[in-house]
Amino acid sequence: MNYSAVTLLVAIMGTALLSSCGTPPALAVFETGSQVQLRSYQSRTFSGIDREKALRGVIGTMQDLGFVIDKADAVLGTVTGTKLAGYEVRLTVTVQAHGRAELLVRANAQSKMRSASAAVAIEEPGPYQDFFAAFEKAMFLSTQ
Amino acid sequence: MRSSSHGRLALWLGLAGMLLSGCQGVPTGALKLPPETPERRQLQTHRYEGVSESRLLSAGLGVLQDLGFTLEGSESKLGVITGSKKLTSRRPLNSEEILKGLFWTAFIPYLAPVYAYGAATGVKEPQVVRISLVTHPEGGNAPLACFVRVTAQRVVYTDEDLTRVKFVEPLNEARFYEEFFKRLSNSVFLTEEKT
Repeated sequence: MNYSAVTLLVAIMGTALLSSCGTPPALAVFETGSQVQLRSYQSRTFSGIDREKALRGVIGTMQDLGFVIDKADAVLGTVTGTKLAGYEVRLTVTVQAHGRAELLVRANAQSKMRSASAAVAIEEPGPYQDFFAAFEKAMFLSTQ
Repeated sequence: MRSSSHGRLALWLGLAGMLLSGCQGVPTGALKLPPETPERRQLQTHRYEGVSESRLLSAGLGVLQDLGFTLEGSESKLGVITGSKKLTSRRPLNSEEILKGLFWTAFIPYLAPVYAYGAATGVKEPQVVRISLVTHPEGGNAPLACFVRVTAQRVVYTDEDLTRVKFVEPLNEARFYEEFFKRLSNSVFLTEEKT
């Protein structure tokens, strides 16, 4: 094996090592990246809103965004929906009591760019900021 | 000199592979309100005066069942019903398909009857239509009234066994919602007659 072939092999192996995931399969579910920062993007607290009204506001917002509601549970305070628009986005929103007079609204989204590809969690702040902007608008309009 | 260019090439290939195999990206604006939101909301919403939320939900459920939808979930406390329906529709050929047909017929005239049959019968689209119906009582001191909002989408497959997805899209056609609310209004009226 000459010098150029060795260099080629080392470069390929090096990039393969860098790109491979080092987590054992059984522990992959616990691999969540920067959880604290992600939770801050995904959550907002609201005061002065009734929980049922907030849940209905979440449903209305999701419909405005083009989602079909898959499931809703008033007791658990969850709403899940799917948006199909050339891509697929699945969004789950929970509305929980937070302290005495506040509600914590948390959104989790996953997307699939192609039907054959696996769904990946959306971890960028932008889409969540967009969602909460739409939700706040809906809640503001409903209180008018 | 030659070995370093090989190494550089491999590095670039590796980096490109990493980029392609890594994150697949987030659909742009997926959670952003589109500018056409008010028009779409109006199209998908109907207001029923003097009708309770529970009666509207029952009538909506009846319409979905009449249309052959399978109920996938419901939460009456929040006024939500979700259903899906498998069907195969036929659509007319698009311009690209017509051009393709003309092209192949010019080279192989024997294909003409096949393309003519295809043009006459249209293109089969095996699909699953998903729908959610949401009721929302009108607030304030207004007389008893309730809104119903319907959103629908479809997954179109290449095969009748529904194994390979061709494309997915929302159902935004005005005719779909007009027809649905016509049937819902009839159903509400029938429920009223019974009670």
